[in-house]
Amino acid sequence: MTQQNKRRQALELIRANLADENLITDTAGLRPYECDGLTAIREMPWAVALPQSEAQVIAILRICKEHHIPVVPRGAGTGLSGGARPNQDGLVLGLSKMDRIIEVDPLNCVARLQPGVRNLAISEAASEFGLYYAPDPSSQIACSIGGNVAENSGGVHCLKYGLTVHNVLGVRVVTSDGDTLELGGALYDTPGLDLLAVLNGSEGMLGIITEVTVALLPKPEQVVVMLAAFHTIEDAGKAVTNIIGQGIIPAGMEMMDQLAIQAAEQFAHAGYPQNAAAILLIELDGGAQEVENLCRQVERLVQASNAYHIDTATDEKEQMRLWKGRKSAFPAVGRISPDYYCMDGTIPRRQITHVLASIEEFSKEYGLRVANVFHAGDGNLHPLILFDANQPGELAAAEEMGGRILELCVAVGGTVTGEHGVGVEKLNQMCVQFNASELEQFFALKHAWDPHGLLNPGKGIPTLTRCGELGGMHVRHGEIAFPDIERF
Amino acid sequence: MDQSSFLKQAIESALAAKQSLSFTGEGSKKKWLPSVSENMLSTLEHRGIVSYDPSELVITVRAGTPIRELNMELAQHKQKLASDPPQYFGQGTVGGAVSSGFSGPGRPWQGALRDAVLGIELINGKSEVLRFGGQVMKNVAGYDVSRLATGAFGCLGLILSASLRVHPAAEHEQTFAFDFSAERAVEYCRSIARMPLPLSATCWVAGVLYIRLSGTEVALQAAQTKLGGELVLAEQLWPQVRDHQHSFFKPAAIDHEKPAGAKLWRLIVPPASVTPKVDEDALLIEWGGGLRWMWHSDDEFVAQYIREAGGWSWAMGEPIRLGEEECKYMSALKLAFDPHDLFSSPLKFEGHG
Repeated sequence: MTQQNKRRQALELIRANLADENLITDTAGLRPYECDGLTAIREMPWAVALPQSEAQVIAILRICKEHHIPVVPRGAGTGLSGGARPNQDGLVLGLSKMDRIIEVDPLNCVARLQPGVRNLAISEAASEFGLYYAPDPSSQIACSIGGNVAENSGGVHCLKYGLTVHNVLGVRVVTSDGDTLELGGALYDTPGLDLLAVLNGSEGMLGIITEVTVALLPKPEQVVVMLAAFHTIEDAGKAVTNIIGQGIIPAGMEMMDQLAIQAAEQFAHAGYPQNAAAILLIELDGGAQEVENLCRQVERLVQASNAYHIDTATDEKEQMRLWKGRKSAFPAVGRISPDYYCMDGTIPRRQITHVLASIEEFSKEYGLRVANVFHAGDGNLHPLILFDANQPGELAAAEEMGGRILELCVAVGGTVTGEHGVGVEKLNQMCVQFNASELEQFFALKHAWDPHGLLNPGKGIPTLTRCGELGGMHVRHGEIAFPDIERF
Repeated sequence: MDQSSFLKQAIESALAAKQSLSFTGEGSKKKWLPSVSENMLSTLEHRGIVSYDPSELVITVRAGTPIRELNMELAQHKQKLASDPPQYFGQGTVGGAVSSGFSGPGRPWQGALRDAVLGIELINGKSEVLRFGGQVMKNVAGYDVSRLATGAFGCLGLILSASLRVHPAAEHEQTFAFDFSAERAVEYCRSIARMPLPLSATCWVAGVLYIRLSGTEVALQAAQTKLGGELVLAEQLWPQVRDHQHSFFKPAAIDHEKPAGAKLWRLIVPPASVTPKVDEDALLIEWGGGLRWMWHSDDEFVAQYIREAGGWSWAMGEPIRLGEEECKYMSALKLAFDPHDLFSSPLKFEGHG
């Protein structure tokens, strides 16, 4: 049988397992799937399948394995690193139609969910029991829990409440062999190797998640959001260190620089002081009296770091106003520039001032503006590089500059991605963070799960050849991650 | 002292001689684990704090460092390890804690030990020194090998050092006691689990439920009025439970109160599960109901209980029983890190690989 006939046969087999409308092969229907949230990188898929049950997922994976068809899993398509970018000869396996909340179990404080359930819908469903799901990526209105697990998503509250991996107690996963594993559940420990941990953040390269059990937390009694404005970024950075140094872990602590403040203010009218060089948004939660005390303490600490303006919101409406500016920072920046490129490095907090100063130098060198939005509490930076793709060379310049920012993050002891994932976007920078043996170890791990390389090929981990070709570039920048380790 | 080259050489030699090898620190958890290869490599000399910046909330330590030493350093900066892993009265090492992945009584509220592991340095079965993760809390570059290696009992490789997330120590800690039956204790734990209280541990033993609160003075005062119970001194209780040194854990062989031939079972179940129908002296319940220790001589009784409740059981000292499909992937993962099956570990993936 010719390759083409084989593929046609595979398609017919897949079609037999799905409702008609759940297999898409026409160009117009495929178009929405050609990229995820990283819109700069696109490719049309061969076909899109939208299963409605785990049984359908298993059937599709078995067909794809038999016919050697690569599978690109996709949740809500809000990912920011191209993790769900299709392969032109591959099937996109969209989990968005598996969107049922199977159970909210208030006794065990867990919810069992199909992978397509939206992040925000979990807290909405748990609310009647006084519970909520803590991780809240900015895209929480749209992003789905399966995607959150695949990316180990963060959000503004992970400083105190952890990332997805800390809040997921169980998953059901289908492997490329068609095996179904049930890992964890409403359980605080799993036996043997921690397969659950390694699935978190595995970017759809190890298995297809068909069910997730998340931990639900009691809603705090009192929440206060404080905005503090500073004349210099250094002062804002100092305030962050002082707060943590005093043993206070805010529920969230976010920093925005002047360009980000101005863009957000124009977009969301959150009442941010537009002349500030930096603002901090600090959320404190706990018991009523406890939060009142914390507030006074934090106020003193930010004042000691030269905050010139403090705005404290105690009612929910006011708090939403303050958060709205931060949560809409990305689209807001999208309005002041034709295009922007979002970075996602993490650095040790003590390096914040140094790294921001270097980013400013890069900005001058490349002639591209940068708006900085970041999770200051845990050192996760999101520099947004502003450019115009219609200007020749600007996209390439933005990408190169972004690469240098990420390499700087690694050089100061951080990482190239804090929460967006590697996807296709940060493959090159992975060569800076990991040496050849480490990359080979990653491939061996992948092979143990997916011996045929069926799931999300070409994502997450760069090949040694790719890193070899980039080798010269990193030497030129003068700093590599572990100079004492042999590089090939 | 940095002994990493010595440890690497030892693994290289074992590899060349095709001699199986296993790792040990102080051996503080030995009695809980099935025996492994005679050829032991000790990490005890590889000790010391590599880096610690309190304002970054992370500490990097070599495997042989006693947890006691680590805790003393952290205490000087009013910080602590969130998961409060067993330290066996100071004998346990960081390497042993990370390799076994045991979490302390605060697990449901303060996270598991693996949650606190941000990065590791590991020698794999090809004697390569590899680094995964790092020193920052948010890091999704590459597969999460650090957390995979936590609780792997050394089957993937030798953990040389680990970077652990630390937390500010609570200003105050108080324990309240309630005279409850086991059933009532679980019910009560589940009802308060939905309330925003500064809970940090629960333990039911010998007809008394102990609830620990950690936080600021005002937070504790507010919580106390909601909880009730009798304020008790429990400075000894929590370390004894954490380190499995409470008299409940005394082996059946020397404790005549326990039924003959009883094994100690560690039952991980959904926290609200019914309590097994056994003599109350044979039970100790932690984690708000999610961890139950039980002395029992009938394996089938335990198996039946787990089938009904969901979850899993481990007879301490015996191999952990794993499902067939899980074993297929665990075994493949072990070989991915240790292709020559050099490392002998209490974790067995029988019938596969």
